[in-house]
Amino acid sequence: MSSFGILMRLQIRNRLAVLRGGGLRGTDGKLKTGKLVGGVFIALAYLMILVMVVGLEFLLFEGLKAIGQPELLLSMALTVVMAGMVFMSFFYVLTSLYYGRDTSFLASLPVTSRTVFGTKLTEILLGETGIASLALLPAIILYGLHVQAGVGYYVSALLVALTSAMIPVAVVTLLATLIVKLTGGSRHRDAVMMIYSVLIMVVVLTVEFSVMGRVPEDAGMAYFVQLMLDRQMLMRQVAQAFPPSWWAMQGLMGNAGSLLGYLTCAMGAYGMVWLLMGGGYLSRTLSLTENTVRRRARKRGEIRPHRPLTTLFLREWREILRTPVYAYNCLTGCIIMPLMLVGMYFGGREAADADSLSVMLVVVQGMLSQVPQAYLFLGLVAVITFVCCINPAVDTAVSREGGRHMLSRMLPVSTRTQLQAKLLMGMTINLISALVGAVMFICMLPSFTPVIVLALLFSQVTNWGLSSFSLALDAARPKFHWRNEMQAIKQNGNIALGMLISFLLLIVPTVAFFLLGGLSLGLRTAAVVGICVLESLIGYVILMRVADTTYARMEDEGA
Amino acid sequence: MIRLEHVSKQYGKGKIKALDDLTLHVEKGKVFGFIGPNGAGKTTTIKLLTGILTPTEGKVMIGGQDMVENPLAAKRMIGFVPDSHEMYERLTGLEYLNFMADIYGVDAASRKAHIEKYLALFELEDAAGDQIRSYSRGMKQKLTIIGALIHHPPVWVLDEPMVGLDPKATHLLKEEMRRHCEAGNTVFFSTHVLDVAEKLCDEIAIINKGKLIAEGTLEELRSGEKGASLEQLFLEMTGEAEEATV
Ligand SMILES: Nc1ncnc2c1ncn2[C@@H]1O[C@H](COP(=O)(O)OP(=O)(O)O)[C@@H](O)[C@H]1O
Ligand SMILES: [Mg+2]
Repeated sequence: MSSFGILMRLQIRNRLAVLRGGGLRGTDGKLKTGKLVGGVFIALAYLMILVMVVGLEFLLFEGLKAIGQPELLLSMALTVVMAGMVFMSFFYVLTSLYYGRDTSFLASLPVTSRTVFGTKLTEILLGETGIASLALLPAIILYGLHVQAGVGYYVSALLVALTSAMIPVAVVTLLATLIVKLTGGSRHRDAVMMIYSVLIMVVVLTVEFSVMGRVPEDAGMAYFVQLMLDRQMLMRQVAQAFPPSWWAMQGLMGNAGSLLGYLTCAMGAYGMVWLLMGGGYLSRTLSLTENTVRRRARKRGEIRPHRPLTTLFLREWREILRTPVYAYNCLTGCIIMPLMLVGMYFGGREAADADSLSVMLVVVQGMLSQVPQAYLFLGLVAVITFVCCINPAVDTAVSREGGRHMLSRMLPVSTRTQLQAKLLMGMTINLISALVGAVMFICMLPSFTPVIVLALLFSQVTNWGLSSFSLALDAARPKFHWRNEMQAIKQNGNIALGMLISFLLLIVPTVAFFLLGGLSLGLRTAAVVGICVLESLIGYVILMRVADTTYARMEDEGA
Repeated sequence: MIRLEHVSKQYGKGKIKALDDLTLHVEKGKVFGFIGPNGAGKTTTIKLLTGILTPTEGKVMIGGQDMVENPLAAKRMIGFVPDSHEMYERLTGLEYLNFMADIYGVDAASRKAHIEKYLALFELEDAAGDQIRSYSRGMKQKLTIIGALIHHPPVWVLDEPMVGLDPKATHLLKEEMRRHCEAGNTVFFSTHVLDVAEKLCDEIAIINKGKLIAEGTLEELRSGEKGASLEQLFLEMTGEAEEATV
């Protein structure tokens, strides 16, 4: 077997080890019910996401059929999947290429840098291809059924799906490598790198939004209104925004030349990145492991006492801020909204008239002032809480301790306090996201400031509840046996479970609100508020129970 | 100061018996050496002592406090140097020491004095501002030692503390252990470096396959065999145990 094949097998085994790790049967042959139930819930969580995707594509398809151009579904789905993948997988690719813990081990082996790079890249590609294909599948089937397509269609669709991640992975790898090169000799490398990453994401979003919203010059208000009326034009623009997706669509409709064009484009991009970036890969990565900061003298005032809860809390935050993998994954919630807004702002300005944006905001304000404030309040709470649902920092707060969990166990600090510090960390992350969101809303809709502030305040109750539930989950069944930080935060089912529970907790008051349709709006709002408070209290009580029982008695001291 | 009463520990729901009915008493003001071959159960014992694990059976008492019933009070009396080098790699050395001082409630003045004294002693002043991940193994070990002593613990527990230290640091550590015990505290450490145990310890216990096979001063252990080195005794005793169980 070639060295590439051997390395590839190692990577894949390493990946699958997590799945295989605890087989469903123990050594004594008994079925591990806890594991099974956990697995079922994780599968449910992923299923839910898939259902959401299918639903969205279905709705889009209905819309496209209505305007008589169903084939646009294919091109649009492909464009959106690719654009989304560039945005969503950036931090993942950056960290798995350049922050793996195994670099020095791999560098000691008698294989070339290009081979190592190739295996890493292929591992990323395989994962992303899976995700992209799943996202494209509904579109392909919906359209195929609609036109009663033959075998040829499905074969070419398979080809398109299997190559759909190549362009995004190539683009993202290029960007990630660019950042690593740019931060070359910087003293505060990790920090500089994070700032660059954020800037790059702004640029990516700007480009994506400006391409998608490409609009003729001097179109102005008239164009904006027309756009609203004539959805067909907008659809066509999105569909044509990215030529390769357009070719793929035409290819799927039977044009062999276009299909070939698309395939060449995808594989060419991937191959180029492999060839060009592979040579210097190991030396680049190894240089990242060097510590560039050496602060000699200790400054005065650095020796400052804190209470145990505070000092544990500070440690949690330091850990996240200073570990790039954690920072990228845990803080996305805080930066994603403003990033998208900035991207939209620049991209939109590039494409359309800035005036049309402000006109739209005025229209929205007008519309919203017709709505009872209670609706607005509940809607905002729901939006802010929704953002809190995805918080890997709290979902993996205990798991991330790994082998160091032993150090926590010997501390003369109660397990309650230790978990409270983690809870506080998770809540402050959510609070930052919520604050950023609230400020955005206030900027856009200044006349609704009081409601927005009220919603922000109340959403901290739901934040408390959701974070408690998620943390209780991770404290009850942590995954300590990770080999690198990437695994600690990415390959942890507790993230999916935490999300699932959070969604369920969000759904309960929502359903109650609609079920109570007969009552007055004030009563319904009060009911929702009451349910949220109750849920949060229950969450916190459960967390404290776990702290006193399961977490306190944990035998698995890590590594 | 340290009392283990009929302590047993089983891992993996009783499948692996790591400790079997261990009883140990260590008095105040003693340096106590805990020796045994690899896998004998030294680390397990130490994890029970420090409250990291809970015994399957038996009692662990530190300074009169039961580790299971009153863990926080018991843990507060211990300073622990673990054998693994898992640390909070992204904290700076100084942040780590401040963290430990905060957790054990050490006031500002005495932590400052302690930190400055020991950083100088172990020659870590220059690296104190750096993140721990840039430290060598020995530097990490030194930092853990400073952190463990920050609250002047009545009981100092160390698991294989000499591993990874340079000769100078080893010497310093041995002196520190002696000094700590002369100040009226107790030192409990495990090792398989026998000369260290021979020179340093007031009392020694030998453990093999989870069972205590000998305990006492070096003189007591030697009883009968005048002039025998600890190494001879050790090999004899663990060898015997081997045959007995086969
Ligand atoms: N976490 C664990 N799970 C299962 N068995 C363990 C674990 N830790 C230690 N053991 C077993 O317990 C025994 C004693 O180990 P340990 O206390 O680490 O020995 P020592 O420190 O004396 O070398 C060994 O047989 C070891 O395999
Ligand atoms: Mg050991």
